Amino acid sequence: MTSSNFLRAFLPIAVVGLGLVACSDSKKSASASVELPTSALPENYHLAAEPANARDVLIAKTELKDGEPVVLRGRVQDFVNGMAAFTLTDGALKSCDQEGPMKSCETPWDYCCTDPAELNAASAVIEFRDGEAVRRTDARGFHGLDHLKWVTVKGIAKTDDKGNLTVIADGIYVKP
Amino acid sequence: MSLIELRHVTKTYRKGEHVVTPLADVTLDVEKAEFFVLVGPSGSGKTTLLNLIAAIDRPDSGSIRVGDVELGTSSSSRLADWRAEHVGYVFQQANLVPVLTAYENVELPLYLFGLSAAERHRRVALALEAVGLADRATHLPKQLSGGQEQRVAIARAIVADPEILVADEPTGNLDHESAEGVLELLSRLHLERKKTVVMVTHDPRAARFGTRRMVLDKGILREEAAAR
Amino acid sequence: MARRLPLDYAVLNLGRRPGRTLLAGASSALVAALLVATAAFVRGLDTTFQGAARADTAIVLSSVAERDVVRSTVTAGLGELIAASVRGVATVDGVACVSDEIHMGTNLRLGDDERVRAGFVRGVTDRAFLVHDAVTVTEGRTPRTGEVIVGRLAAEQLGAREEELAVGRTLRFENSAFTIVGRFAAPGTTIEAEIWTPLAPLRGLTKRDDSSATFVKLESPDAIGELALFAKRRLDLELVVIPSAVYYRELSDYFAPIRRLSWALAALIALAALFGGANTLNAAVQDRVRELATLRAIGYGPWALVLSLAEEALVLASAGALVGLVAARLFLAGSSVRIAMSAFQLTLDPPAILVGIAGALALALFGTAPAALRVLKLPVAAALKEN
Repeated sequence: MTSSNFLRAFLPIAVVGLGLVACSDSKKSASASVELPTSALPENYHLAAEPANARDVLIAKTELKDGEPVVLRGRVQDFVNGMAAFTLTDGALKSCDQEGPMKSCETPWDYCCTDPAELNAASAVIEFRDGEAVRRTDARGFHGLDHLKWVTVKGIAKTDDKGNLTVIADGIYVKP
Repeated sequence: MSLIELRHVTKTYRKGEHVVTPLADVTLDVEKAEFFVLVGPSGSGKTTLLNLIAAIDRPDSGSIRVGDVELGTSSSSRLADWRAEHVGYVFQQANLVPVLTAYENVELPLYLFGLSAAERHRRVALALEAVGLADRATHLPKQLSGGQEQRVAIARAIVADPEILVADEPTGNLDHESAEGVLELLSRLHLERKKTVVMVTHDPRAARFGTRRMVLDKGILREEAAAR
Repeated sequence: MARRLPLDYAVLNLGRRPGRTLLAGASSALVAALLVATAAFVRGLDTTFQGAARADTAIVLSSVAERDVVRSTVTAGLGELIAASVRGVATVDGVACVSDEIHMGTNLRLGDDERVRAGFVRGVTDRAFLVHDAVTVTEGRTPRTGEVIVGRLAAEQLGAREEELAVGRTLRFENSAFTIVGRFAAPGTTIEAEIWTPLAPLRGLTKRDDSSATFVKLESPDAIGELALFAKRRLDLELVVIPSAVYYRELSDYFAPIRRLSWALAALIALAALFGGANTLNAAVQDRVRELATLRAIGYGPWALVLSLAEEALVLASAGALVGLVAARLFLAGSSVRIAMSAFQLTLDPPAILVGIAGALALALFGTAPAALRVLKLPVAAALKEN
């Protein structure tokens, strides 16, 4: 066998070998919002129609007092895994998919293109409680509830002197 | 029926741009227990004919039947099995495996039969005894003379007790004395063990040992009277 | 019909060209040693960076720090705040397992040596030992103001000799001298390459009134949700909660290019060895064409010869691999590697050794292919005439 024959015989094997050892990055998993889980949140939280007199988060945070009933509207920013709670962000804030240099951002729901301080100032926490404790179930998936969904929540406001707002919800309307 | 029957066998091969025809429409019968000698000048197609009989090569046309086996149409693995069982091949050079002793070289064909170590030992001892080299069993080929090497090769060819021995210029590389010894050995195997021997040679002295002699020249076979 | 050539034939063939055999054996040894070293390196890297990960532990850090503990700043009393506000924080003898810590990369000098070394210092309270329960003080005691304890691999990380970090020696950073009062182990974690000192004095020295992060141990992994909820309720604190498993996995992923590069380098050298081995065997077949044709004429099928060649290659590769493994064991066992601001020990465990052996044997088998092809295509009649 000449050396060229040798190479001809050998090259396919070498290529296979290289293929075996070569490392390849597995594709990044698709965005978290592809499959919506089912939520075990009790059905009585669901509001079929949007309640009237809803306030935006930014305004509500300046006006509300602790213990006051509230109807709050905004977009879902982020969920707390395993807990019936999520952060609601004022509709005036643009998520990454709406504008900005990171239009192609894979996780627009975390508003990663927005300054965190500005984002926190425009966000409130919505909780679904059983007595004093937040329910141990995912809120995501409840009547289509997902990142960046427009929702209106009815409940009682909990505020502190640091400007944080938590709403203990008794009803939620998810805009289709 | 003859043991070996060749009918209208033609073999060609390419050599550069030329087509060479070492065998053209050859028909030949070799009887059982015959010592058949094929003579002819170099390049006359003798080895080609021998390789066809030993099923190492295949004809382009015609048929070769040995016993009840048609060699031209059998698969190569079937032919390998057949060869192991029926043919002992003695080459011009002994072609011994240099890293194995005389004993181990002779033992090589026996691994094809799944014999026990004791049975292999018995057969190897007999074969070495038959070629008169029982005392050289542990020698490596490089420790043997040319004649002794060729005798080990003959022991290797007969160890599995094949019915046919093919020998291609078995004395071509030997001095006169060693050559005589090898030829007498082949002759004895033919006479005492009734082996069918097909030998190719261009040495007239070697040809004398055959019971029948034919001449192959330019691909054509011609019969001659036995010389012995 | 049994159709194998005796194994002796394959083994004895190795003695035909001792020089060539030695070279091929040495290349197998090299490949085995190299693959073991690479596997030990990568496994060491993986296990160390993920070793500190605990399902029930989470790291609370600043949401603006892009998950980098060193760049993160959180409010000084965060640990206490978490202990008071979050359900499910683990306690030991009534003490909450929350550890406020400062993590910093800093320039260090050892003893009187003026050479500047980059080291990793962690400011901790006693509670750190409750959260990081892999940490055991193996010599001396826990540090007080002006004192440090050093991890088992800190010397490696600093590029220093072990005795330079012995108990009683001093080191200097942030314009202060610290006495080494203890040594600690935290097997299989990056913590082993660190230097620990009390948190409060470190805050003073570095003129900061915050911490880098708070490490929290929970009663169960489920309670991480409660901690995350706390971070959401206290949006003013700009916190993010990362389960330690996730944090260390991301840290480990950061080194993925190094892992890939190591494997690529090993593969490249293995490939060179593969070509070398294949060439050697191919040359061996070329030398033995007439002998192989003779074996075919005797009645051996082509695959019997291929099998014998493979045996020849495997016997040599096994012997080579064994030498390579012994060499790897001698030179690598217990060695550690410095990487970025950390250090880890090579993991010379059974999987790493298996990679070495399997690699060397696989290469031997692959290397048989061209020679095997040649044997399979051997024209017996023509080859019998070869000189």
